[in-house]
Amino acid sequence: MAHIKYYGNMRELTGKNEEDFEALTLSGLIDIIGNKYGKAAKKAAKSSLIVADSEKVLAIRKVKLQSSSEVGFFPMCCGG
Amino acid sequence: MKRSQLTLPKYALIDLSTGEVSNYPISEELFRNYIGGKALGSRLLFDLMPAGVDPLSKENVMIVNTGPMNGTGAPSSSRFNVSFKNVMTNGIASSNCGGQFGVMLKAAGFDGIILKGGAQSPSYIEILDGEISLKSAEHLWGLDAEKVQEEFDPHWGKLVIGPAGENGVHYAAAVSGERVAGRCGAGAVLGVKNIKALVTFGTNRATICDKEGFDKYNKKFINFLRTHPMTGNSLPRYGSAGLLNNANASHALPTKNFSRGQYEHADKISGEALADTVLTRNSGCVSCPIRCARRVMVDGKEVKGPEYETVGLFGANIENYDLEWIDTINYVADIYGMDAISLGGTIAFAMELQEKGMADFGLHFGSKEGVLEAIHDIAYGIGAAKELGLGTKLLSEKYGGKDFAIHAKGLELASYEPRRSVGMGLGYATSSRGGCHLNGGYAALIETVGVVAVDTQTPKGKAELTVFFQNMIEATSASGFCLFTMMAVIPGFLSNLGPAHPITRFVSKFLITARPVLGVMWNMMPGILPFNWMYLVPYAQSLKLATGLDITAGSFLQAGERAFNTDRLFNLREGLTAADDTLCDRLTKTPQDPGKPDTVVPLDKMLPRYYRVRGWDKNGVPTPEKLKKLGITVSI
Amino acid sequence: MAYYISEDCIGCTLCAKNCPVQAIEGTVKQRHVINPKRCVECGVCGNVCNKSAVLNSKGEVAQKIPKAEWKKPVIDTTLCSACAICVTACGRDSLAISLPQFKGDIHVFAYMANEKQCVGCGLCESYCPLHAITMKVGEGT
Repeated sequence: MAHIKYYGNMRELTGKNEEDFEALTLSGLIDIIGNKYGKAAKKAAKSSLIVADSEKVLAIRKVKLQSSSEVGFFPMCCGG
Repeated sequence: MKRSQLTLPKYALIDLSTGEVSNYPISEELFRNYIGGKALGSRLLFDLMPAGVDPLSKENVMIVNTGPMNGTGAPSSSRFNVSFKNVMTNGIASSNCGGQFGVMLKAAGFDGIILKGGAQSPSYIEILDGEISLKSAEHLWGLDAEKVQEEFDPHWGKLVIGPAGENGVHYAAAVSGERVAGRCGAGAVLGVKNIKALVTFGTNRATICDKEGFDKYNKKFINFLRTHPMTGNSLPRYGSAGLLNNANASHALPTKNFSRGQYEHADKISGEALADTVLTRNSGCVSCPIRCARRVMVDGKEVKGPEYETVGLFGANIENYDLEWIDTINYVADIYGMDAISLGGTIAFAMELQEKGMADFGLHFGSKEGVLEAIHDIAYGIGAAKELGLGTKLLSEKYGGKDFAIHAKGLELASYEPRRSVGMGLGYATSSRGGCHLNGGYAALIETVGVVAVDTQTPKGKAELTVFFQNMIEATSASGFCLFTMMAVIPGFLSNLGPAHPITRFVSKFLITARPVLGVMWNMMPGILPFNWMYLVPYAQSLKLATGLDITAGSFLQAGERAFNTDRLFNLREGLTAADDTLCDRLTKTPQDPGKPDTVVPLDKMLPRYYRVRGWDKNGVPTPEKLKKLGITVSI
Repeated sequence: MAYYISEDCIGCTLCAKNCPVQAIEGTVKQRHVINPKRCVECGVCGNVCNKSAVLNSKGEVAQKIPKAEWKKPVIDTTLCSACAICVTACGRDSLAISLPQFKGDIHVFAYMANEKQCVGCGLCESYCPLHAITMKVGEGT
């Protein structure tokens, strides 16, 4: 089970801060999120800054997930 | 446009020692070249102050001014600027602030006020309907920044100092309403001059050259900001602290005095947490459709909420995750009149000194104990904590610890860990006013937290990007626009695609690989961008319509470059050199992640290239050719 | 040219009390004076004067208008960007920015929070960059 953490408006779209999903790849995981929470959530997930196992994701297709993986979705934010 | 249509900015010079007020004419050439705000401020300081003045003496000149966009109704244009000689760095200082004061200064009939000398006794300056008078502030001296503002009509614009400014805390701020011109010690300079407050009111309207065209463009501009995912959603929704989690994810959230880049409790102090818990509503400056400011409850009273910097530096950087406590600190720092960035940085430094047994201020990482008391003592200059009012640099000279003294030129760094955003590191090192993320070019935005995920570790291309953003920021500030509108310049479709999308990746790569072309392009301003396009540089057209100045995207950016070079000349004249364009050893020599040797700021690789792109020699001095091209007539 | 108060003024203070920019000074039973630098020519002083003592910028006597016939701002909330220029411009503290309807609501707008205080000066309308405010009679929001 990969552990998923949501941030920003992903929290509003999913209604959750974190949850667990069974997924082998990152794109698979995003599909699961899309199926469960709808198109907007999928779009938001895809356009987020994604961190999988402490590494920033630069290409979604290439990322494989382990059962111990931790994935964070950080929708783009700005300020400072 | 006919030349005769230009309305030149109106400046007044006040000799505080005599109370005498005179007009200070701004020539058309100065106006065309420097526009206003911090750019014009730097140039006027150059003219009005000899080299070597002690910033904490009455000889320091202070300029309080606005940009031409101020008061026109253009979006996010209420910013005003305070320029003076920097208390923290001995170089140039400018501090930018929102709120009501700038608009009211303009409404009172002035674009800028120059304060020379110092008053004999505590005074305040009243600027009403074109009349300026110096009045006694004996009854106001000693009041905190909130109470002193309550003494004046709520409709007036106010710029005041708190006890920290009166007591000469080096990073004392000038406070206007709930907004703060924090950095560089503006409050300390006003304090030395015996000026407790500037208050202003009037009903003058800003002149607009092409009213109809401006009106139309303005509507487009405002709606552009409202529909952009950053300025129309993310900023109003989570405020500036919204990027805290993203910074943390990128290892760029300074933790434990910049010794790490990730804080395990970051989410508890994030913009999301703020929006979910303590936030009561948003607020904003006059004329701003973004409304990023927060209102929170502190002790049953609704006050201003913290910005990203405060949350980062009083959260992760001292290992604290009590958000409500940070709200209190933020409020207290404001009413005492202190810069929360420098204050937070200094406290973290004191904590590290404590941990290493090098000094004893009774402050410990991970503990809130003693912090509020220390802040009080700093502001009032009491006890051992009084020394903390000197700032990190001077403390490190007394107690040691220069290798972890987190400052640039003497000014504490903002809340971005430059080892995971090396372009930001270059920006910190080269910023004219010291360790400032904004004046430094804010590369962190495209490196760590923004839409475009430019490689954070490569030194390549960072010089070119930093130069571009520094110029853009200078010119934007000079016009009077808020820098947050710049977020919208990063195309909205990219943030809808996200950093992992091939197109975004391509753009990010392109910005690095195209560096030779970009470097040459910046030096071809203004000719290379002889047009105006809202999605590239929205400000130029706005300026053109409002003022009648013939401005294109290219000349706008060149004005920024001119301003940055003028700042540099000021710094050089004050004796700062290329050796001051540096950061402490922790950031340049110790990898953030011991397993990754490239997690340092490779300044030695970036600086030579930066100087070259800027058209400076290898000692960081602008070449005569560069100055000639920019039309800078002053020399050191 | 600013408005002007003639010798007919009996010092009732009504105009000073209603002036949205505090441009009128004077004490009770003394002739009041308009600060020409401050005056925005909104005409509110003329609207309230019972003695026809206010001359407008053309030098004509301003006629009193009953309160019910004063114009009031009508705000198009779909256009409004909540930039709060009108709130700052309003010297009467009549306008305010609405509160969020739910947690996370960012679609707020200016609204008439204190209609009693509004004198119908129209400053808000003149400042609004989006022209979201129109002054109308009898349609106060």
